[in-house]
Amino acid sequence: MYLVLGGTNTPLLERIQIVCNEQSESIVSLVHLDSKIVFAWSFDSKDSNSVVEAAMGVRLGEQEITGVLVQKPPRLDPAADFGEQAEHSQMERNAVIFAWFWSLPCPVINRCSPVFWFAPRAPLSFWKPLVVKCGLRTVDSVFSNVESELRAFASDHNGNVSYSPLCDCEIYRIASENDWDGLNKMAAICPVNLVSIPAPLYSACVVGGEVFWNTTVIPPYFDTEDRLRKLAVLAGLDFLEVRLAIGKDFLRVVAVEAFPDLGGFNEESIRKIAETLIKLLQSSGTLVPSGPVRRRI
Amino acid sequence: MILVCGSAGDGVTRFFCKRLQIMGAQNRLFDLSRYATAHRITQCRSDRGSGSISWPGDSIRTSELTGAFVRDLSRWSDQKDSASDPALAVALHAEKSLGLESFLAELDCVVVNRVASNWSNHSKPYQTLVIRDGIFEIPRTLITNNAQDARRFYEETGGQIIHKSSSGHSFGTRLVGLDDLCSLLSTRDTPVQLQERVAGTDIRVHVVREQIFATRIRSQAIDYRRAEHDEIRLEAIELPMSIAAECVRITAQFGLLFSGVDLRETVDGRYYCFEVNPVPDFAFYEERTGQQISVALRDLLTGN
Repeated sequence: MYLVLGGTNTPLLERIQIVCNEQSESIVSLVHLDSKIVFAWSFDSKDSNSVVEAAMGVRLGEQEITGVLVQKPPRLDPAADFGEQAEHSQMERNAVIFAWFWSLPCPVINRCSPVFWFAPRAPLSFWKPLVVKCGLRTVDSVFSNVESELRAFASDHNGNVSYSPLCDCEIYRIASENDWDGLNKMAAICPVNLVSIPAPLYSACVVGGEVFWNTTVIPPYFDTEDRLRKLAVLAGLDFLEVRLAIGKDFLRVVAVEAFPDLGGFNEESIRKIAETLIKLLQSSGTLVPSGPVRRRI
Repeated sequence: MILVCGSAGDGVTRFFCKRLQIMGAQNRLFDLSRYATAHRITQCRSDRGSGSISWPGDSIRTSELTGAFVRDLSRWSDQKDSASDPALAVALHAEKSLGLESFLAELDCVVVNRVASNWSNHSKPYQTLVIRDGIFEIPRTLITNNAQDARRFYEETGGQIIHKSSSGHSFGTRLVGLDDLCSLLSTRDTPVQLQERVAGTDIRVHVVREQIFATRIRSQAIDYRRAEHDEIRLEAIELPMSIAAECVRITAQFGLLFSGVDLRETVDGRYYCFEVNPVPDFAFYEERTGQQISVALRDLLTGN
């Protein structure tokens, strides 16, 4: 039985469900460790054992879980769950579910680093050391609350700049004086991240050793895919999405997502990605790291 | 030049700034309690990065920095934003936090500790799993939202159960009885972490890259961190070489340059490790034992 942890309904998950049905594989989705789930996990210096009873009486010992796909961790809905107690409970649940998927002996996509799970979003700065290590570069940006510095950056980039909030993946073009007014209002509250992103933007999805693009016209750099594969390996992830732009002389990384939403990918690409993910889950022997945490299990 | 990133109201931040001053080490306080409105910040994030921070009466370029010492950013993030729309307040708060974290991540000097390495502290069970890969013992643990399993664990351990937080928001550790368990698990909404109590003596080990400062703590309290200070006796000790080396290894394993490792030594000479704190309150120990933790940190942050 496969398990999808975290996340909510996305076209990718729907497609995975279809692929599982076609292959007569069962799949269970578990978003929260809340009161609808019965959960017990015991461990000591040598052993680890867990049981989870999901909705509709599905009871899974950890040996019955044959593969796990880790999706974006559940976050609070600020409108519905505001308050200290709700926040604390969510932090506790996320802390447990994160450690638990690290403890499981089956293949897990993505057994990610804590920063990706717990940070509201991992900004490009967190990825930069890995991006540079695999021979890619990040897009030029300035982080500032000083208007003259922001204007100077825009001028250096021929006015071709956008506001890119660190907490989400939206990008807002800054062109008119109205845009600048809005940006300055934001900068009065906290420094803003202004980026220079030359069009067009490409999205690449790395799944295991394969790279899928959101377009048939892929960037004209023959070794890009090798570098993206290397980025996934360095990040310890089996599945990630990278947004790229072609700079003056080089391919630039705009954003990296440890939990791809595949927004810009068409149905056919998503189908292929879903099939590759299922293949990965079936390839026992992979995705079970030999490093720390796993050795005694 | 050392940049100390912490709140002026934080005792450890004040202590470290004072110690740096006494040692004659150039430093500036980046007062996080006034972030982000009191500072003018610019950081160019291109192939040749540069940056500056200025505030009334002072200014520094990030290229002048040999090191940055970062205190608990989550304490800054306890200041909630007051936007009327809760979703907007959350987004604004996340934007400020990530801005600060990404600013520190881009610094091209020694940073104690890099924020990205601190996140392991948000899952204590995860830390425990990493720790048990080495030579330390870990306590027998049950995480559950099921009262029946908790009751069985209680009986198996002879009622010697500690309840502790699973996340980074610690409420201390406490011995719990059956009534407590029933109350904790009455709604089954959140799994609780229960550990078998381990008898022994607490040892706090501060690791500064490869230097070790071990302190034995004598206290009657279940959690000495919550005890009255005059009920605690601290004593600087030497650790067996293998234990010291393991503390250094674990610290590096978590990607940290500085940590506070919580150990307990049992009467039969075994060492249990409970957690590795990436933002330890080392001032408390240094003030009472005279251990030169600040000196080691100064050396690390100035490249000596």
